[in-house]
Amino acid sequence: MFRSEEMALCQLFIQPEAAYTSVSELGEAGTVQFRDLNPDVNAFQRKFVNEVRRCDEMERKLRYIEAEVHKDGVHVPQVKEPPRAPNPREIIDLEAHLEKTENEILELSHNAVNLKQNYLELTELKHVLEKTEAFFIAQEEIGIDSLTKTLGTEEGGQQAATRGRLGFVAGVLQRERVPAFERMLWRISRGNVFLRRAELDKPLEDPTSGNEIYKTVFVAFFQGEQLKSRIKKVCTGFHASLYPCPPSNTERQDMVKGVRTRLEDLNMVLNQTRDHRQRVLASVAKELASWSIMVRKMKAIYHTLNLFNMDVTKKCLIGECWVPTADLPNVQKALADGSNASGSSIPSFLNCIETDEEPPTFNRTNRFTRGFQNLIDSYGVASYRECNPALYTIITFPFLFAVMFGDLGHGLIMALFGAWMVIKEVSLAAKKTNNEIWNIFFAGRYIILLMGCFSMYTGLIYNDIFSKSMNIFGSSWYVPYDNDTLEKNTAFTLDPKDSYIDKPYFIGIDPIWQTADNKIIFLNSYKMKLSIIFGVVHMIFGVCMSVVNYNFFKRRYSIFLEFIPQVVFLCLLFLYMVFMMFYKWVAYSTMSEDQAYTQGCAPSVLILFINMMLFSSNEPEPGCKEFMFENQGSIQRVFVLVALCCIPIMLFGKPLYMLSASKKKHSKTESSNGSVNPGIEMQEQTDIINSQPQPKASASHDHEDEPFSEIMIHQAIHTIEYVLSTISHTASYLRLWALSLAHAELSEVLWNMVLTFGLKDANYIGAIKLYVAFCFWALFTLAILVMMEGLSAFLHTLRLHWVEFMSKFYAGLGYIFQPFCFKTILEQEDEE
Amino acid sequence: MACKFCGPKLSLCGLILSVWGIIQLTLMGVFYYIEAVALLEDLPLEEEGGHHTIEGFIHKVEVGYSQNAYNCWIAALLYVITLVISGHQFWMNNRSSVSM
Amino acid sequence: MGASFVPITIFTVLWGVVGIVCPIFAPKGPNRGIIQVVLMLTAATCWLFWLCAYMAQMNPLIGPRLDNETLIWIAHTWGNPYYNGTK
Repeated sequence: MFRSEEMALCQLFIQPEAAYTSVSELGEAGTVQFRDLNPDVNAFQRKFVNEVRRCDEMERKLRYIEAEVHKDGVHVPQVKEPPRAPNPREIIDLEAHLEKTENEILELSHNAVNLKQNYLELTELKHVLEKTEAFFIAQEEIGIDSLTKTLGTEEGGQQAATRGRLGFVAGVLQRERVPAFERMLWRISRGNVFLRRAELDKPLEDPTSGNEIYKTVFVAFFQGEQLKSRIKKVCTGFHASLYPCPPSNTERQDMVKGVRTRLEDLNMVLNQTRDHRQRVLASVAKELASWSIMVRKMKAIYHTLNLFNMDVTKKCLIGECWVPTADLPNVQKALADGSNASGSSIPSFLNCIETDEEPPTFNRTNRFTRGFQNLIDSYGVASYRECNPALYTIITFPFLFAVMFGDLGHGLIMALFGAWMVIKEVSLAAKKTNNEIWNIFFAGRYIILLMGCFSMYTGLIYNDIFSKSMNIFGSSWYVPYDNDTLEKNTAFTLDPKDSYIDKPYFIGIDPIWQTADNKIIFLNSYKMKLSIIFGVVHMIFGVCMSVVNYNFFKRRYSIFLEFIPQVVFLCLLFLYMVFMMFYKWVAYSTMSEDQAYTQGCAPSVLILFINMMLFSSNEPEPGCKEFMFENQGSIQRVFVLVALCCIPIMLFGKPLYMLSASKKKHSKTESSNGSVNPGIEMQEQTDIINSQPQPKASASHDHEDEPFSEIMIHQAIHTIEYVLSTISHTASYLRLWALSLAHAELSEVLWNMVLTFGLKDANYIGAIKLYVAFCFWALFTLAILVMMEGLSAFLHTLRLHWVEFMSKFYAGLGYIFQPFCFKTILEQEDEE
Repeated sequence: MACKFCGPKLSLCGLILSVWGIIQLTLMGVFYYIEAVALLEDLPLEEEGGHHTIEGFIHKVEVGYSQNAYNCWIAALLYVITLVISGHQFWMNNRSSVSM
Repeated sequence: MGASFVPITIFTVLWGVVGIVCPIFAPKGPNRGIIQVVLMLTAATCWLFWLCAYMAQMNPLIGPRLDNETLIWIAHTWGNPYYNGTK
């Protein structure tokens, strides 16, 4: 955890027959990251393209089957034990099986569609017959009526009567299209078509898509053949299905009967088909999950094999991979298992090779540390073997958060939430959701738990529980007045001289301050100092971490030329300021005998510090001293001068050292060995490597081949940044004060504005008001104080770590180790 | 019995809220009962142009404390009722989802 | 000097035990280092935090300003020498 794992670049020599099984074993182990040995070969020209295509085809089939299964709402059981990648013989079986299943399902659904089409037509016909029944009866009556009416008066009536019955067309149409259809009929016939329609109450099922459609039965009466053909054209245009409808009543009734029996038969057949399909799908669904895992694993294996290189003699495959040195035995074992499983005679073997290339960064994490490591990695992945700030972040992060969030009650809520997630970890992790906010919370469950716990501690020290204080250990203040004085005056400022028992409150802030009017003045000075103290300690800690790095990377000169001046600079100026704060706390007292150390003479630490930097001085009040102790002025002067002297060391030290070192080294030629050239035979490997020096400059030898001027510029930027940042970063830690103050005030305001509403009643109605007020108060506490304030405190803490702490030592130039692992591959695809 | 009127989320919300309410209001009642100074600000004291004697004032404050203590406990009791109702709802929701 | 011996000892010993003694007895295993660092840092930060709060109140330079109602009540509940005398 402190440093990333040591990595080794290894070469794998695998027999082609054993390659598949070996890679499968490695994927199960998940400890190696393969490198692409043919980056210039495009994806379609690689060796195992055909196999990848086969996998793609199988995946497509699986997707089709899955879609069908989902359409029928069959439950797909999860696999408990994910299956291993199938061996080549099983692949063929699987392929055949998939093919068969797909065809079966295809055929079944085709049949089902046909049957349904039939069924639909018959139902529609049935409806047409039933509905038109009514029209015809009505029409006949109307016809007779109109006949009798018009007989005497109009000639047209007679004509109609002579022509006998009108022709008609019956059919079914989608309901939305009816108005347009009607209008069209009107237009083509100039109003000579008589349209009757009735809506079907029950929706019909579309055979292909399975959607429900509402339809309308219509009957169009007209005169003449010409009109009939036109109407038919319109009907086809509107996708109306027309059905023959015998004009006579009895025929119609016979037909209805026939249709009904046919419908019943069809229904039976349909049910049988449905049952059969259900059975097939259910049997497929059982295997579906494990099949899809198998296929995905196969695909991943072939993709990996594509990264390999073929030996010239075509006798073995060569692969290159990064392996954590601690896992080498596992890899060996996996390889041995792989070749055993394939039954090949020649074992595959592993060969570590030297390289100049920067290995990937791999921090082994467990579920506790992963969240913290993610915080660091999102800033930048650590350079290889750099010390890892995540280790310290585990505590400093929740702690600094808690300084801002300090409240016992809110901390308790947060801790309970975190604890719930931690305890229910297993069952919650099993439930995969796509809710991003929840996933973020869940990934940071240990962070939340620790943040809650630390907030409880700081809340205890701040003596804040939902903005109220508890007096557990007895306040250190007492009231020195008698009843008369108390009655006559309305407000008092207690004088520490007569009302303080000379012993501070046992733990944290005295509860008397909670009710005091000048609480903020006191808390401000306390919290401001607190944040500076922790800021300076945190930064010094960060600077000290850089020693560890310099030491590890064998840059001893940097310790003297960079670290020591930096730390001296920081200590002499800022640690001294911290010292002044403590000294002021200890030395100045209202009870002091010496007049120079009483309340009125206490100097402001900030003004003293500014004067120290500017070499100026203030005239002290009469009877007071400007400084806190003897010789402080001269000591300060020395401190500032020494600190200033450190700046040129930081600025010129390293570049000059590099210059002289490079002169010394000039005669020596560096022998560098490169990453292995692809396609070489193993026994010749060493010769070839030596004959091909790698031109790439590696990162660990930075600066060395850069010109002096560039080093100088780098160093100047670095120095200026450091010197300025000490001031700005110290000021930046004041956000601890600001946020903690804001949090305390906000929670007090919320209590006074909302909850007090329920407490100010002198009778029992107050209880009901309290019930309502508490509800609102609780909701606001959760939403504003815990969620919003928590989020803002979290972001500020993150900034304090990324910028103020990590800038002191962290390079973060590495790249992450991404092992070839079936588990991660499957999880990623699940998320998609 | 199947009077299900809130969904799973609302009933869970009510459950958590009422547990919190019961704990906090009971504790607040206890603190009012032992007359904690920190809660002095939240007492129902009518401002009637100042009090006359210290004893009178103290008496009034004591009455206020005990009044608030009882109010807190009554409110806590109301939350017990809420707890029962939302617990019942929660149970109904769970049962119906299981049976489905 | 308003320091009292008892609380300082208690807290220093408490966090000293957490930060120095506990890491020695941390369970063996791959995570031993992490546990040790976690304990030590926790102890250091918490101790320093408490110390700051304690020292900031050791020699108070200002006193709290309270209105008389609060004061009467404080005198009543927390007790004061005059109050008991005049009653």
